[in-house]
Amino acid sequence: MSLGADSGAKVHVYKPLRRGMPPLGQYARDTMDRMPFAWAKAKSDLRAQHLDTALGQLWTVLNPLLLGLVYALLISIFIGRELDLVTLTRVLGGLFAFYFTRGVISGAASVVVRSGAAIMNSSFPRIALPISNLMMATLTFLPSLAVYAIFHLAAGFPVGWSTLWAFPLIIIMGVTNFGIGLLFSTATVFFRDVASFLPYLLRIWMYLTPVLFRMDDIPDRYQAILRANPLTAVFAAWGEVLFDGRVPSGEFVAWAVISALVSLLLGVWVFITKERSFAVRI
Amino acid sequence: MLSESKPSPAVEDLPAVEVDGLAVSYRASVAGKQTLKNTLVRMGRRQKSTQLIQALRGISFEVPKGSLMGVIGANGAGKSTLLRAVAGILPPSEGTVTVRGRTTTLLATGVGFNPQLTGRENITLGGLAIGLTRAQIEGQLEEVVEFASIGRFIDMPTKVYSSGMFGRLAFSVAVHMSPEILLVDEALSAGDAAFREKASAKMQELISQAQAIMLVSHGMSTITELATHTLWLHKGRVMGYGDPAEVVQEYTKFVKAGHAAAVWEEI
Repeated sequence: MSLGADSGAKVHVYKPLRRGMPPLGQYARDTMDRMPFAWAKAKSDLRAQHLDTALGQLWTVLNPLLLGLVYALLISIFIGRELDLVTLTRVLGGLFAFYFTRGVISGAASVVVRSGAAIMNSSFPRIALPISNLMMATLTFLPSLAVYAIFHLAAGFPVGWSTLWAFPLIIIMGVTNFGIGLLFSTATVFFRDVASFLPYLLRIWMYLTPVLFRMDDIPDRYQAILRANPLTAVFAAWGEVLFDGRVPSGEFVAWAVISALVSLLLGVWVFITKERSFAVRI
Repeated sequence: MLSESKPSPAVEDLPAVEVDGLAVSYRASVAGKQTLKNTLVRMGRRQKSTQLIQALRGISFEVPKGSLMGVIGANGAGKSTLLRAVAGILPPSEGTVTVRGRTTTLLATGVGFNPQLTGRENITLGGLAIGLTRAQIEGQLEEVVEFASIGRFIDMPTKVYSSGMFGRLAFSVAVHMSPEILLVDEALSAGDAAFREKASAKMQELISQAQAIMLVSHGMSTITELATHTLWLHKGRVMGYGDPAEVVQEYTKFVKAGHAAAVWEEI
């Protein structure tokens, strides 16, 4: 509904923003105040996403699972690798994680434009919308992790203390995805066709990220291209943890953390300095 | 958001809304559809893809507590932009807007956050988005549903609502969320004659409770009946401010003289 209100009997003084940047302390507090909203929206959107389908939420796992089967089949045909549980599990490990990336980035790209009525009517930090989308993508990713765990054990991949590295890597992945998602979220408000080519861009991006292959599979002369990709390090580390059963290399972790921080800072800066325009561009 | 919050002083005698030298400008697309393709084509032709819109210039006024300020003017005068600036949705380019108290807005009949969700879920999301607690929202929900007369539709997806139901529900939500300052854009046109009467009575009730209302309307009779004072905007500037009957008379004369035909873009 077209409802808007502020949170209490405060005095608000609205002044021109310097270079589009709102007072950061106040913005951060307002954003924290909207966390219940972001969480409620994430849960509601997740429920509504497959409301009209017979299998409902099961699709959030079935989609990457079926795609994983297709990729495993293609790999067995073109690379000549045997189509076995190990190949399928390797594909699923990378694919489930990239589905998380895809969900955060493509969801962020559309969430602001889809919330036009709320943006036109209510005053709230717009970043609460992509945060809500990040929460929804995480809620979608968690069940697929459980499904992956079954394949992981069945295929005989190692499990140990080093496996716990998967959790910080998921956080690093989430931060990187969120930062990149904010850039696409802003771009879509200004250029609506970004949403049209984004699925193709994400598909190409997946082929340039160690999702379906390992870094060792790539010839040295192409390694530099892969390393320019902000998602490469975290996915390379992800593969080391899941399939080699070891602590990820320090180089990949450091590189992944730097990519995450740069993506986050750049994404937040672009988003909040441009969000003033959202109400007149939507 | 976009504001500096400070502890409330003794605010009883201060106006609910103070606007001082407000200007709002922004860049809007002139490239038809806002697409990368159109932008690149225009760049190739060395044409600008955006232009600066000066929506409001040099606006100053006050809205005392317990009053209703009517805002009138032709399409594109800047009325909706003014309400959005007061609500904190559009920050000023120049000047300041001081708002004392909780604002509730009814600016356009939107469809909430997700048309797949029920009215109840969308109201909850809308309330949480603007900082209300779940308890505050749920405490008002039954009254909201009763006032809007939408009955069992409250638990149905909003995609099945008629435009009249949207309008009634949106108005009901806005007036029942304990507003101290209510910003309303043409909402009285929602619903049938009986609902308009009910809505008008509810607004009178809010004024009697010392709450401040800003009402944008093209209905001059609504303004003269409800407003305690009136602001007339034209092309983003103040043309008149004061007694509703006098301002409406001046505005009507202006319109009859044909000036309002030269409207600006719809804002």
